[in-house]
Amino acid sequence: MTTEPKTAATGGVHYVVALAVLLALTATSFALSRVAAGGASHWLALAIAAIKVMVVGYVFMHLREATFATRLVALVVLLFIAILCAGIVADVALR
Amino acid sequence: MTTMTPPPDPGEAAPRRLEPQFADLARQEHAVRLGMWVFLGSEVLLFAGLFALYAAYRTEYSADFTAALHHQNLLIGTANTFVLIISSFTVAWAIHRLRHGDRRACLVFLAITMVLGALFLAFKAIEYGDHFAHGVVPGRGYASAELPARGARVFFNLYFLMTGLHALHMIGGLAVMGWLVTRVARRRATPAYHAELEMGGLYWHLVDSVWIFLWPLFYLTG
Repeated sequence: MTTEPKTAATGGVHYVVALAVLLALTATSFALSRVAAGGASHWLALAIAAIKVMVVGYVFMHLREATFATRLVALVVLLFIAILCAGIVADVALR
Repeated sequence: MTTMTPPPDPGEAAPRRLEPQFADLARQEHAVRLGMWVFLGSEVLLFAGLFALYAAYRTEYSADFTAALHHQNLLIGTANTFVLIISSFTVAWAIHRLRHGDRRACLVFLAITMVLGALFLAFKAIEYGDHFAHGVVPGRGYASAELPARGARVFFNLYFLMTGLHALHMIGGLAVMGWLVTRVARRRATPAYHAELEMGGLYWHLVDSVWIFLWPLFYLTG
């Protein structure tokens, strides 16, 4: 945008690395779903998805070069989602 | 909107656009980015409500959800995941190339992104068509002989609601990408200032991120 970002000097290698990591995690998630079943594999699949979203956010969405205020918005959103999902699941599970 | 127009940089067809309420472009950039993240946050919370609904119903109809998951087209769902991840890369790379002044590469990668987005929607249409052919439709018309249980009906209602909402976001993203192509082609987005490209990219990545969670929930965790 207005100022040359610090990532520009790296030649964009981090984008290629991020893509490779995302593709590898996707393949891993797929493979694990074929060999394992049950509750643990569900949580593992969701954990891998969370890691993938963090990679997308940090590299592709440029959170690595964002200001504290911008990162704070992202963190608060994640916190709200966690509270929402935990509260609803706990409510249903404990009835 | 009224704009103050500083002298254009040499080699740039379009001048930088500084809105009157900002002292400089750096502060404008910060405000634009922060505002976009707040918008993305509201979008995420929209989907979060649906994810929470999924979590609640999955807890209640665990066996039915598992049975329904085994009837999903894993091949198409997985292919679409790879398509969207690659499209996120092509958007990021398009922005990266424009930052380095390579307008042609930027346009090429934006076009590739649009092709990948259209491919995703085409796969989704094929998948929906297959569901409809087997009586798996949203709402009262649901008539699957293989999955008659109430939990399966709930699963597919959620599936159509969440993936349908996601597909609408994809269509919106494609429209944004088309607009960005024209902005770059007409040199309105420049290497020095391309806020619209950055914000459009953020939106596309958000849509990708939502799918990253939809994939395990509707295809993998059976």
